Amino acid sequence: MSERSLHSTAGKTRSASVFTAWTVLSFVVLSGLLTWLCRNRGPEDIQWQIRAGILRDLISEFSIGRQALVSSLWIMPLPTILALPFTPFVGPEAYGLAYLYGLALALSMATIPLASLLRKAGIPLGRLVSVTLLAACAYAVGATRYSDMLVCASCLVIAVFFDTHKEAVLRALAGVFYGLALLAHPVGLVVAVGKAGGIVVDWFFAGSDKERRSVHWIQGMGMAYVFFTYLFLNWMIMRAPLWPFEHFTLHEPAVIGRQATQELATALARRYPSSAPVVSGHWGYMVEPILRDAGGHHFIDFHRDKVPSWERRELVLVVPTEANPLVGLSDIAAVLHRDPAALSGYLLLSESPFWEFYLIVKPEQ
Amino acid sequence: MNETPRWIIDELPRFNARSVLSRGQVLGAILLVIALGCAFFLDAARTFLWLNTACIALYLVFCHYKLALQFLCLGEKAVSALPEDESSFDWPPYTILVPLYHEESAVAGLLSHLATLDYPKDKLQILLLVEEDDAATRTALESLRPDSPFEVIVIPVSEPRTKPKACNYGLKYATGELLVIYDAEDRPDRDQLKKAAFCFSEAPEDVICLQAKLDFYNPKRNLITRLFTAEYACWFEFCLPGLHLLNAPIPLGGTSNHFRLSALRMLKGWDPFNVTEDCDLGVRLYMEGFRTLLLDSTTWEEAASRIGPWIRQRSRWFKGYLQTYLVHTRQQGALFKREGLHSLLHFHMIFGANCFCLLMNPFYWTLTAVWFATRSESVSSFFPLWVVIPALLSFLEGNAAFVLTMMLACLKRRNYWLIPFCLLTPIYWVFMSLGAWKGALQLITRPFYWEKTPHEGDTVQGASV
Repeated sequence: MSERSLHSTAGKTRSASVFTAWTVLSFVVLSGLLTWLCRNRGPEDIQWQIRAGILRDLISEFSIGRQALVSSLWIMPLPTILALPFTPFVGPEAYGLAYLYGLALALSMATIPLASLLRKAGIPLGRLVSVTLLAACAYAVGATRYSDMLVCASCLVIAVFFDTHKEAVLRALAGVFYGLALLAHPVGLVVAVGKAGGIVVDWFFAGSDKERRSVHWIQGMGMAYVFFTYLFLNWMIMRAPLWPFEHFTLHEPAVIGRQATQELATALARRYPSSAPVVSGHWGYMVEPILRDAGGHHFIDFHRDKVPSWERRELVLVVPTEANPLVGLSDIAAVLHRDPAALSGYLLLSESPFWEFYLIVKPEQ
Repeated sequence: MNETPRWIIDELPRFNARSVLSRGQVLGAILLVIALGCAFFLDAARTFLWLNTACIALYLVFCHYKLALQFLCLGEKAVSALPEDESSFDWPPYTILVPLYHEESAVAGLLSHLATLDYPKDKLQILLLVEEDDAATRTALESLRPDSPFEVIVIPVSEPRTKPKACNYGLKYATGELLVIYDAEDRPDRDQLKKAAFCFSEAPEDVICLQAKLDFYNPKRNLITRLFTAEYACWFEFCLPGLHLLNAPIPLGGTSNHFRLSALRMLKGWDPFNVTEDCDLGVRLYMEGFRTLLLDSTTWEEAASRIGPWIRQRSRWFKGYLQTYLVHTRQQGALFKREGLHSLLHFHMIFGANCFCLLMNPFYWTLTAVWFATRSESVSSFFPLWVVIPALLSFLEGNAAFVLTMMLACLKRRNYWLIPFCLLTPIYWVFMSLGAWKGALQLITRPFYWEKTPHEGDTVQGASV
């Protein structure tokens, strides 16, 4: 036993070294690739700007940063959280890079699990192929609006790696990673719900197989815990655990074209030059320069009593229309469009193909 | 009061717990208190903020250290072995030490179980160590008239009244090549001695200790025994193998420690003033360049099932951990020499950070509860972003991960029925902290007092004994 034990120590040390070496190598390759992509990134990359904005507000300890971290199902918190450790190294003007390093970190953690899955599928040179595949994924979506899906995909790879392991103890761990996928992207949420359904169904087929049932229980608890943590954070920060679900719209966010941006800038400059524009939701990070030029205010979960008391100008709430690809990132659009009662306190001033402008009646008026 | 006899003083290990604090440690503590007092006087809010930041950082580091330790061995399968031809194997002489104190109700069961151990009887010596003033146990033993390989050794009354003192006394009479300690209520696997002897024969000479796994035979008694069983599963399935894998000092588990007798004598046995003498011995043998391996054999014990005895037992363990920490921080240079920074880190994490977190937990639980109840700005002011994120991380990630590893440990031990109860572990942590505080205070008031855990004679449930 003792000799075997010593061999096991040596084996473990070797496995740990291999894991570390390949993960570091993968991180270097992927972060280099993503940084290069960032220089040539396409105009459709909304994640970069939004995540950088959230990180800036979070680190500046503005409450909007905490709110933006947890309040949208389209901008889930895990990719931002993974970027946090890199922020001290890049500085406030380059928080987008920290986001990319966070993506690279998540992807690199999946290198060895993916290699193991490839080896199981009979593919040779598993580690090398794994790094190549991850790099290909990063290249394909790293500079697009889907970049956060890389974190989700990485969590799912690790989850599948554990889920297909022959050791029950390791299979049981898969639940946590399905849960983390849920925290990374709405697709992860759908997969996690599917997995939970699968667990429930298999629970009945497991019969008297106590080990299988126990594995299911632990997996389910892992997923449930991550999900309840998400609800808990929303309860703590947004004061409502289901806030992101209540303000969710199926419109998948995409970048607005130059026409829409131009339309907004022109409207604010010509129609409401003496008003203070107010925007609510993550899309505010996409129009920061326009908002800054107009001296506007950006909120998450805006309601009228949030208007700063020192603001003497007339306030104009800008809301994306249903035709605007940013409507999915507006937390107030869904409410205003869905519930006419929510319109009390807001007077519709004008509409354009992409924007609606409401006069905000200040509470004291 | 009987004084400490000469033989105890003469045979004390060089670094021992006879003095709770050395002169240097007292001086260090005074300087620290003065420095903190000055800092509070100059800027109380900022001092509190920095102390809080340091505490949270320590929590985070300890939490991840312990998790790494546990996750290292998740997929490990224990391998045990016996010689292919047992009859031709040269079994070495084996001594079993069984310290007994007020165990009159347990001796009959103990003797009958030890008699069933699968080891050549002519190679076995079982020393029953009874205190001179424990008439009840002595009478019970006399009535049973144990004969060879059993021997009754009477320990003269003297201070300190601890188990290690009794073991050291017994050590004088030990004639085996190998030695193991069992408690009165222990039920080791029948082939444990053979496994240990074979393992020693295969292991390098620097392996002088084998720690068998411990488990409980009364886990279903109530919630305390259930959670205690889950905790032991985690400790013996993940933590100790993790420490072994990382070549860290292994805090031995009180019972079922098998030793090479010559090496044990060279180490001067156990520290009679330390109330977790096993844990201290684990560190001392590590410091001397020896190693401990884990034996894949189980000893079944009785879990304390009432909250009072459980807290008393826990307070003794905690006090002993603190004693061990204080004793060996006096020789940090030697620790550093052993394996460099790596040894120091493990030592401070296993003993220092572990104790610190258990003591601090109630403060942070209270602070969290107050914040949730009041959303008080004054509480928030001590948690700026760089503190709140690690704090939330250790709260949300750390706690959940510890519950998860307990579930995994139960899964590994095939205690499937126990897994759902692991969700109640946070309640258990509250009692652990209570025990920790009791132990810490007792270190000041009664440093060598041995909180004896009464055994209730629970029946064996599902143990393969």
